[in-house]
Amino acid sequence: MTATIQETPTQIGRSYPRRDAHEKLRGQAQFVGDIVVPRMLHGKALRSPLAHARIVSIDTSAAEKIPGVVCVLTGADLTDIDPYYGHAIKDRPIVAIDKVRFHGEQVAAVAAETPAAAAAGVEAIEVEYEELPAIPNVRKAVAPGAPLVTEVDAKQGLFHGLGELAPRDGNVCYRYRIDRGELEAVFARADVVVEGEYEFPAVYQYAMETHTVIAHYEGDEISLWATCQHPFLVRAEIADLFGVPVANVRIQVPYLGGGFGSKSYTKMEPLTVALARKAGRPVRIQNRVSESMVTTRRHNMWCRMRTAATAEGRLLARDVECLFDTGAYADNGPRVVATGGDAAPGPYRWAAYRVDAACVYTNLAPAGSYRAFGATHLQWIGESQVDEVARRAGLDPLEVRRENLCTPGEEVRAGGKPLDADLIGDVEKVAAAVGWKQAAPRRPWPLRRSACRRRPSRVERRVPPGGGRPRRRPRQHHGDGAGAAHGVRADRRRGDRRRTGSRDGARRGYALLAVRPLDRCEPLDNHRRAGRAASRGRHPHAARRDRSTLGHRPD
Amino acid sequence: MELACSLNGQRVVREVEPQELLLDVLRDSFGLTGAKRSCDVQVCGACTVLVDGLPVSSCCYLAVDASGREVTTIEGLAERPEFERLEEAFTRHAGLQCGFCTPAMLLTVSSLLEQGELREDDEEIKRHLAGNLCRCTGYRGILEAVAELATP
Repeated sequence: MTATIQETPTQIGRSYPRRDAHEKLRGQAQFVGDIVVPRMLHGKALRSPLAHARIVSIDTSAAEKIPGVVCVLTGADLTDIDPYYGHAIKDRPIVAIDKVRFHGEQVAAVAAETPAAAAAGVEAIEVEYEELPAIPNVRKAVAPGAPLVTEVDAKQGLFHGLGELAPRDGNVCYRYRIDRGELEAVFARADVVVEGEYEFPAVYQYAMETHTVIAHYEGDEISLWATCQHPFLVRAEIADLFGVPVANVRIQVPYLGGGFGSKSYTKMEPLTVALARKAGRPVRIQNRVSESMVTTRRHNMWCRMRTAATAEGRLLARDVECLFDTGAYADNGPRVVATGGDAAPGPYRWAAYRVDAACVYTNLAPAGSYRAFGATHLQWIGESQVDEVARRAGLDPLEVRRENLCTPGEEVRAGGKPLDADLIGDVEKVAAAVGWKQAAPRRPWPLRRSACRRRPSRVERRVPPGGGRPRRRPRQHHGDGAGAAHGVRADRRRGDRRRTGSRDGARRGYALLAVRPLDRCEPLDNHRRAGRAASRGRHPHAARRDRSTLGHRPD
Repeated sequence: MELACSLNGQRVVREVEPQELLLDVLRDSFGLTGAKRSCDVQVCGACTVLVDGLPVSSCCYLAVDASGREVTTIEGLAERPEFERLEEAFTRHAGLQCGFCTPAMLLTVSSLLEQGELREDDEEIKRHLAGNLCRCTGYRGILEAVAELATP
């Protein structure tokens, strides 16, 4: 491709045709479910009909006799490895061992020549359960004397990323706490105290494409085609789980039919790999929607919040207690809770605040990421209380925000990075756009979502933990002026590949079409993790390897 | 049972099980993977194909029922000269994101255009496309593209 260098980078804000439009419109774009690997078998999971039960026995003999069934996997096949995984907390077995912890948990799996034989095999597995009392919600989970969802003393996962993992406290697997200032003293002198209890509902992310994985286990090499948003993390976790070097795990993510967090981190990959390992042939597991709904979901949450203010609408203090329902396994719960806890005070100036957020096990399906995870949970409540403060003080909610929002340069959290967003300016813009004063001065709703949304700047997000120089977006530049931008996130929904090309190209002054995003997301070495924090090319060997691979990559 | 139909303009004959669904036969026997499996209950529309020119959810349509009929998938539609207009409009208005629902969306739109059912009016377009869900919520671009196509 010839170099096309523009004089000034002016491409931001201009529309370009999507690079992927042609294949997608013609039905040629390949998703995992469209891939057929030679000798591939069809896998299906047997899922628990009970929320909490001890497994007394599993009889697979009838299932194994069904024509077309190649093998049946149970926990007994996993004695040669440590079968627990989880990127935050290693609390989840590949298939249920000794007991089931939620309705829909994988108890066994069948690999067969056809989907129909796999389904018949699943039907024929006999499991005897001894039902245990189930914990249906977070309040019951933290009540004194509550039965334990898990007895496993879980180890920290590969990507815990939240400091040292404290030991499990009953059904609480993780806590996030902040305590600043003399909370009770400030509340005692407040004119206005708004207080309430809130329930935030669970939802399923519903990507149109269900979780689908093809795995092949050959010798000590594992190949995967997976619907996953974090191929680097999944690869590392699979290598760790099955005890093979990371270099022996190859994972490809073709086009992804939506994710919205449902395909974050490891989901159906371990089960598919374990089944392929036993079958000795490639296996594909494609969830039905009903199965994907018990694979992951958004956390539901219980919260008690109180906010103190002066009669003039000046915010003073906030006290937050919340219990996030992470279901039977932690999944991304700890990170969701940390983000939610951090979002609870909002970007306001406080004399004191306290947050106590807990990630709680229950006998429900595991919960993970969902669109700006954690933040939505608490901002909805926090902003509702700011509106209520305004109502009681007889003030315009916009005015209360003008008075109390942090301004650029202020620390939002003590010791944290200074704010680099003009929140008040943004709120004013929104107010003008919706005709706040003219149309509906008392309607608080248009402000709720926008007033408090604070995203760190791109540069800030890339500052490594502990400070230092911002990480650079991984990219390559070829000598001829063309470049390849590497989006190390998978193409989750709306063409991240295209956007990577656009942003990068614009900054570098390349014509957009000269920047070629990678066609597939496929990790090449172990020096990249996920998303924005990836640092491709930092490792001295990485750049060379990438270049050589790119040269041979079919377009 | 025998399935004998016209598939994308070509006459095909295939032995199928009576309970086999059109979606599975198209994807597994004919390798036509443009129709996608998602909800399995005729709600999302990702599996849409045209049978005698009308959109059907192939996840709930028995393959044998297509006997003697004309089946069109996205692969067939994309070969037709009039497809270019659709492709151009959807590309210009970025009427797609992840692309999973996209082939089905185009089949439905092409059928509506063929029948002269589409008007420029947003509300009417929404009503006609209610059977095709886009979870990326790329609806604005889709509506703009369809409105352009509906303009005589």
